[in-house]
Amino acid sequence: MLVPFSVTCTTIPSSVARLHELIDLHLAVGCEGQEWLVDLHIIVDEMASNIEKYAYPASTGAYRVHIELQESTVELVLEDDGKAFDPMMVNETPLQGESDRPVGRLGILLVRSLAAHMEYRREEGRNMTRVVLALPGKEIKP
Amino acid sequence: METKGSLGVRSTEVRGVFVLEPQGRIDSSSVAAMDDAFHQALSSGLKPLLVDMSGVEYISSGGLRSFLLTLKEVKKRESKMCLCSMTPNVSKVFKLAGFNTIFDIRAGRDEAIADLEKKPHAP
Repeated sequence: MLVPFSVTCTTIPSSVARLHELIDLHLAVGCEGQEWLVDLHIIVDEMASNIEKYAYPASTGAYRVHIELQESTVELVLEDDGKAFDPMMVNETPLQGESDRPVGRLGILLVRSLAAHMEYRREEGRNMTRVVLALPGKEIKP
Repeated sequence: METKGSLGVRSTEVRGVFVLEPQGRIDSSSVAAMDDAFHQALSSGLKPLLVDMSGVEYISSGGLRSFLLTLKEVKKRESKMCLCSMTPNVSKVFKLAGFNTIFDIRAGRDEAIADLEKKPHAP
């Protein structure tokens, strides 16, 4: 049975491995190897790693991850109380033969390429990012 | 075989080519195993390097960075690096990041080894 789940994570120690395990436990049964599931693993890896690396530069901190499978989409919401960061403002582009170019924001490029929709807002000192993945063969309702 | 988290990396030498075979997921929680394997490969001398990607379920940006840093080091040493046998999910990520424009990527392992055997060093 595919169920939504929410989990509170810490930046130190890293919670990324645990998030991958939870996705496998809650969402992957019967769907192993499917492209949308792989995309979800990548997106969670990128978003959670970003929070862990940059949200709380001087200390450890907490962040919350909610994942829910809906009729035609998978919805991922991440919240943290760390430094303001708007992933929509990142303008990373794919490499074009130049291996010497800095590649600092590749993760956000991958997330925006894999997701059907992404939105960000900052409220009362909290970063909230919502990422939506389309399920194969399903039309996304507006 | 180096194993960390959800990734194991096997290393062998085939006809003078150092071959790495990662098995599993190359993401932020497992990339240290890939880093260690690349370090071992670079420490083995100026042998050309092949990474057989057939066992890689997916790769995230941390993994891409590890590959890029290794490519830069290989080029500095005037050696060669090639990737082969990518799964569709991995190939998709390489294309999204533009990494298909900077890596020598072959369909199959035999083809890659034959090419590296003939031309082991960068021109």
